[in-house]
Amino acid sequence: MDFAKAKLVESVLEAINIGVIVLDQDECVTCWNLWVEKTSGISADAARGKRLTEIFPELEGKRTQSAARAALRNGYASVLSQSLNKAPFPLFTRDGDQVVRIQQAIHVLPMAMAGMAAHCLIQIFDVTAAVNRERILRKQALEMRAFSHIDGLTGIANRRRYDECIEEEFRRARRNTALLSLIMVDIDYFKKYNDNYGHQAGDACLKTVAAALNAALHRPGDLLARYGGEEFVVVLPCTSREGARLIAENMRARIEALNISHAASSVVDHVTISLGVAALIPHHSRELDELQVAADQALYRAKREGRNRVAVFDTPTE
Amino acid sequence: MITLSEIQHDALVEIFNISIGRAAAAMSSIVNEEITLAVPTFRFMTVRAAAEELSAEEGRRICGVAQSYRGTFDAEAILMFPEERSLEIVRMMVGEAFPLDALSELEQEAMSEIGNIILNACFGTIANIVGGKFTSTLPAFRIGTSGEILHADEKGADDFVLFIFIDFIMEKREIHGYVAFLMNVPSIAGLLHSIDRFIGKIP
Repeated sequence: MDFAKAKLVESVLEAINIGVIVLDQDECVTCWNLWVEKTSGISADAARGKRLTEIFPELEGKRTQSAARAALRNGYASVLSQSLNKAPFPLFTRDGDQVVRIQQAIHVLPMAMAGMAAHCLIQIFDVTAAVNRERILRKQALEMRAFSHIDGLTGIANRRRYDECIEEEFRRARRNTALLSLIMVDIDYFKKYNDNYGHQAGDACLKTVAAALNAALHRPGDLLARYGGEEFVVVLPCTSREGARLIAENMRARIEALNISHAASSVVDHVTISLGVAALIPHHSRELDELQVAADQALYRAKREGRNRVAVFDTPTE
Repeated sequence: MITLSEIQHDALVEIFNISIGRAAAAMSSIVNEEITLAVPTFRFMTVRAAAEELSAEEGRRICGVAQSYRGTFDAEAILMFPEERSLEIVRMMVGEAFPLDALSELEQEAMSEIGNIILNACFGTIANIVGGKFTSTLPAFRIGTSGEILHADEKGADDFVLFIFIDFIMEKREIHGYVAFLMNVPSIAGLLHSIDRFIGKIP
């Protein structure tokens, strides 16, 4: 290469906005560009001829070193991602009046040049901006999920949707002096199901049960929601206690008919549910809690009486 | 169709497992958690047949990491997982769940690194058998159908693929993936010849 061309390549190396380090066969530095000088605080003159791990002892035995060796000995290229390696090189930049370690993505390439011993090119990219961008994106996506009304696993309404719906329906029933029914549903011995068949089978079971429960509802105002874990809740506006009991019994029969094997269940050898029904015509706002407590108590009675059944809370309100 | 004797197959599975074990150790030390990689079996097939095997479900999206090797012969190596499995692998290794059902930019790069480690280990095995010098390119991340990733629609659809099955085990979860080495017919012939010579050395 003529002198002018060499000079040009050198200026390019100094000007580019990525870190460039070249190592020779003995893992000693032969090239150290301005970007690396600025971010490491070590001049090219000081670095040249030294082994990379002598300059940065923290790289000893780590991925960067083995990647450089794979390039020098075997001719293999390597990628070191920020996600898995964070910031292997102690390189820093100024952010306002703070000094921060640069988040890095690193490419290690073999350089085979005719008539020369193998060299290896290490390129260091500053991905700090991308890391920050994804952090914001992750935060926003999580917030959006929190505002979502859909349960991620079963696809039915989630607890948040239920909380909003029951308050709205309660107010409506109170305004119209109308009946409001609630069913609490619990899968029998679900913990044993998970222990026995594993969590993936448990998730599949929850999805199937949710779909079957949902199929038992036909009116647009009815709502099935996942209350938590293996508990579901059904909101039935304008429905009497007897009407709700019939729907609950229908749900119980549907789940039994699915015939999902559950060897660890103490009820029968397949998946079953227990249901608690409560109904009222609301007059006071405190009755919302009472309705939920009543459905819950009925559910416990259904369990106490042997599970795979419907229990109805008897209130004088109806 | 290229077939191997049982002895040839078993000997190769064993050496693949030794080198893939080194890749697993490298990955374990990155995440500080036990990762097991195993090659239960492999076989030769055409690019077309490999694409069909991978697309068990119509239009299923595959996530691939590809690298080219040049030297004694030329080959393209591609690590492939179904897209949703690659999400699981990356998120288990990175340790943070990203609330999106596609890999983010940084996650794609992490997947490239995982592929890079596995592919270099697998190709290292082949390079050892064949002997000779190779250089590799950087890994490239691809996403698409199996046909798109393997370029099965192009002229080379009848070229051969060395199709290696890979089991990735972490946190009691087992994820099945594949490594495909695309080579032309003379390269395959050369590899088979080297395999015979190599097996001849095994007592």
